[in-house]
Amino acid sequence: MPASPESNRLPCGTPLGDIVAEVAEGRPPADPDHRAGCEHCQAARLRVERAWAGLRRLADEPITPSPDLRERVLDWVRELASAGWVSADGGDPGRTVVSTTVIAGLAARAAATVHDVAAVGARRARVDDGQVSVQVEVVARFGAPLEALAGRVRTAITADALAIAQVEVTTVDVDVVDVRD
Amino acid sequence: MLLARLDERSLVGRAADGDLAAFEELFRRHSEAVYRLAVRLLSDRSDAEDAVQEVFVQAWKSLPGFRGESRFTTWLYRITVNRCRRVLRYRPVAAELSDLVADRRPGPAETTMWRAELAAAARALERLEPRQREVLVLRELAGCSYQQIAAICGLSHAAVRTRLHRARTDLVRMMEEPS
Repeated sequence: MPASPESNRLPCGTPLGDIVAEVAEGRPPADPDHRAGCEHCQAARLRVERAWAGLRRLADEPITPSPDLRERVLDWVRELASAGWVSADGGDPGRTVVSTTVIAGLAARAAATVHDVAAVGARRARVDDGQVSVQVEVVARFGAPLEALAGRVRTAITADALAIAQVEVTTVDVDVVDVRD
Repeated sequence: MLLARLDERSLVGRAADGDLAAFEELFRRHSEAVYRLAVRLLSDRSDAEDAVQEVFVQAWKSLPGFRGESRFTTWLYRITVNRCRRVLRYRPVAAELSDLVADRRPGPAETTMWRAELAAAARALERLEPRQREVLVLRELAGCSYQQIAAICGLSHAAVRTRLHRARTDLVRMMEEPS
């Protein structure tokens, strides 16, 4: 809401901003002689002080995050810290490696394109002894046969990982976490 | 050595080298301040928790590039402000707000007037133009210096001063208006 300059001045001509700055910064009035005799300035000063007291109280309000936030964040960071690398060599000179984070991202996008997948949840990719496994959570459309749906998700993920990253995914675990109309 | 006793610079250095325990200690020290800043910028506690998560994940990824030119909190707040700007940009206009005030029983010294003034401040803060709100929250609620705010918001010192002056005045005017 833009304030017009006129409305920011008191009837005596003093800018309201001067009084606000005084209170906010704890400064003495710029013009003490005017202040001593001006009822507009004195009334404004009281109003601003009251408003500022409200803001100070807001600053002191105890607001704390839910207790599980810490674990949520640190879990994610641990996973990032342990992210592995998958070799994606296509026989060209030079080495190509792809982070498991990328594979997990590809898997999520591939799963989202599958018919009857309403949403994709958490996903992760791991490398153990050169074998790449992916785990992905999906929400299915109500009525879709889940076994067949999981099969299509598997096919989509392995095909995309191979086509886009030249990475062969050996296992895809599909967790159907919910169904939706 | 006890991590809680380590100074910030050493902790940041260790975390940048991939030391998870050092990062946990940084989280312990700063997550509540980041959360409070996000709540005040977003007026929504659930969005603020998501922001905290994004901020610290981003911090973990970016720590190796943090060269210690600014204070760690300044760097962290800059990530937070940028994150909140993105959330606000994509938020539907009609979002229900006002999670700024803690939901708790009033203390014995808190009169009705006291609560009303607090609520008026919260409402006015929500109505403040977002860029004004940033500088006001950083200065008045997070206690940042002008120099820190300049670094966090990417503004000159003079621009911080001007914007803060305007934000304070607008806030007071809004608190005086009947809502």
